Amino acid sequence: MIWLTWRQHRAVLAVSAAVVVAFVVWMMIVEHDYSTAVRAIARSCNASRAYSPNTPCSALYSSEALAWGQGDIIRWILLVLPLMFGVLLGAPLFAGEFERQTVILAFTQNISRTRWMVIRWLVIGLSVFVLSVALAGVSNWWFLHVPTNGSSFGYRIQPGQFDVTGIAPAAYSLFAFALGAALGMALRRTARAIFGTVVLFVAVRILFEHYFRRQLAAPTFSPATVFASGYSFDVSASSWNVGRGYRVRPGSAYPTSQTYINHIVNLCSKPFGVQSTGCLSKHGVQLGVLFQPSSHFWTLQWGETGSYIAAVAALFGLTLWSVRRWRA
Amino acid sequence: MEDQPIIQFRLDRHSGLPVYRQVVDQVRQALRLGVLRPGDQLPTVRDVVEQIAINPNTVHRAYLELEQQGLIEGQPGRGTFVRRSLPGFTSQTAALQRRLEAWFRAARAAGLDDEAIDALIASTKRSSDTEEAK
Amino acid sequence: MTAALETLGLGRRYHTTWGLRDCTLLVPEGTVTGLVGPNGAGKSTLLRMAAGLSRPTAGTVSVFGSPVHPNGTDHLGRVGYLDQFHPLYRYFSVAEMLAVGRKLNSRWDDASARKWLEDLAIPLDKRVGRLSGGQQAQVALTLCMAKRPDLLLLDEPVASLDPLARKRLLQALMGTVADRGTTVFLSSHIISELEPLCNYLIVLSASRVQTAGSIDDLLANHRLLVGPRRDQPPDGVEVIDVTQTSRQTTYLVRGVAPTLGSDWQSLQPDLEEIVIAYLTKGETDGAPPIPVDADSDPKGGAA
Repeated sequence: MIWLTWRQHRAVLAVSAAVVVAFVVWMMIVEHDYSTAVRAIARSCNASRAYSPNTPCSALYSSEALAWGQGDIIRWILLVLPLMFGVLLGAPLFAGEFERQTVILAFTQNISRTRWMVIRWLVIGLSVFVLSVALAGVSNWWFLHVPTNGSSFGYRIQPGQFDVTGIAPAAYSLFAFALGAALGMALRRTARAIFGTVVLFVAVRILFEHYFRRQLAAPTFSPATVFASGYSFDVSASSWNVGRGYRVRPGSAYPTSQTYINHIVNLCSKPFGVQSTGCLSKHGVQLGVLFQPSSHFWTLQWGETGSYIAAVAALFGLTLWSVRRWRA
Repeated sequence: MEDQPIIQFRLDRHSGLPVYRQVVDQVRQALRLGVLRPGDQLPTVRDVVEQIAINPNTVHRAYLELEQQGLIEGQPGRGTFVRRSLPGFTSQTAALQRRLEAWFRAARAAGLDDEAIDALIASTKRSSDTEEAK
Repeated sequence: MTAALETLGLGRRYHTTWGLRDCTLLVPEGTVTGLVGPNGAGKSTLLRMAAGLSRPTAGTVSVFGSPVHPNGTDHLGRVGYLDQFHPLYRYFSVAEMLAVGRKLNSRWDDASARKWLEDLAIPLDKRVGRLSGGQQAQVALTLCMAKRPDLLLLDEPVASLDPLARKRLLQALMGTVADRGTTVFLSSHIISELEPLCNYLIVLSASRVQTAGSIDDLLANHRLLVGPRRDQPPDGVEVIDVTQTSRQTTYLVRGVAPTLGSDWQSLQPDLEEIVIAYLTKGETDGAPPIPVDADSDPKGGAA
């Protein structure tokens, strides 16, 4: 059965591996170009970047900018690459068998449906795991050397960078695969499964990032600095700002319950969702900003990975239930 | 390369005769014509079934009847062999032919044309064959 | 004598229509049974339930005494199933298809499989998708036979084949039956094709079993009565079908034929006439099915 799975999928496995390898090669080239340019600039060009065109230093600055630009593209592609595993390896895994009616051949050999499904899933799933972990490893190394526009490695907790660093990309890849496989088994049509995988993968990723990631670790509160004319929030660039928040001033005698805080916020509200800071502080409530500091990176990574892996397990179970239920 | 069986069976789907009967008749015909001689090995059930795709039981039944007629015998582990032959046509056919010629003269005298004679021969043969099979 | 296949009140419903209904059958071991009926009569439905690919909506199906469950594994080693469309992995070579069979089946006869294919001049290194339809059917049948099943279920195995491919496939099939005593259950809508192959026949029409029994018994128990036009059916005997012209009436009856008069002929119907009578009957009325002749001699052989 292991042989059969490999033999049936050797082409798509080769393509997926080739894509990953080609991508890694590209990343290496960009890293090389970038670090060469940066070293040369450091040696012989000044930081003002004011050079007339066609001089060696302007060429170096162009080279650096080009690498940076490619780096940005690479980052975007890395965001989308997990979906490839779902589309190429997940969706056709079972849907293809139903479309070509070869399930009938498979289910009339001396192997149970359960075993057939589980081994197929595990063989391809393991391949997805290996490829995505390798890619994640290379990505982590790469981001240390090539900054990308807006969020370099120092800002890795920010959305957009968080998704392509650490171990989360491998979890997304497995999720895309499991999603594709489950949809393929349920819908029994490859094209529909691919469509469903893309739509659901994007939806889940966006929703999870927006609503659930911030809850994976308790955010830190930083009180606003209040001026006569207003207030300002002070959040470090390497932290992830998750929105404004309120708390009772520590050490005060006011109740710390959320009901009390909500009551005071309502009490002190002015038009357009603004509160009067004077009114708030009279009742012992502080306005501030909630953020996830960069030290929370790995907590969030493990939390997110764990959630996606739980989803993978649920999708596996769903796929298994579906195959046992199928009738010719 | 294994030995080819000596005789080739034929299945006539439209003769109205049961298949096992056709097998019996074809063996008897082969014996009369001298194609099969005493001591020759008959095709195995497997061989027959691979020549003409028929049920193996049909072959068993035919060989059983031939064995009951004393024409063949099965030797365990070795195969089925011809035991004795059937007399050829020569001694009996001359007398039969004279009787047939007389019958033809009578039929034409009674006014039967070729078509009527053929129809009469065919239907008589068919009913006598099914009678014989019972 | 065990039943190779036994069904009791077997039925399958798709939404609101019944694909098969009230099917009670007993197929003895070591026989070749033909399943005949028009398209949509329920032949494929019955075969798929016996193979464990569908679950019955009503009744039970057992193979060699054990009930068949789609998620069970008992029957998988003993039953071979050949689908009408004989699916294969089109990008595999013939040799790789044999490897699939070898790896997925415990009782696999690789030597016989290779010999069958060699006798048919099907090259082992050719891609399955490049073979002709007849050759693909042969490869699919070879896969079924090489796993040494005790029961072979074949759904219209020769329907789409040219005469030469048909002959070769049936020769290989009967050869296996002769060698191993495999029980075969095959469906077709061509009666003349089934007659030399089968000991038993089951007639399916309008999702019901119209009649079932050994071919010898079917031939022995039915008569054709031909005579002058008559509107009153004879009593004391079951009339399966009646054909009327302005001057003549033909009855196909089951049981001991009554004497109706000197201007009536009593003829032996051939198998095709008997089957067609039951198919016509099945079409026109929803009468309850006729029980199987379970006590007839299973080794009766094809007539």
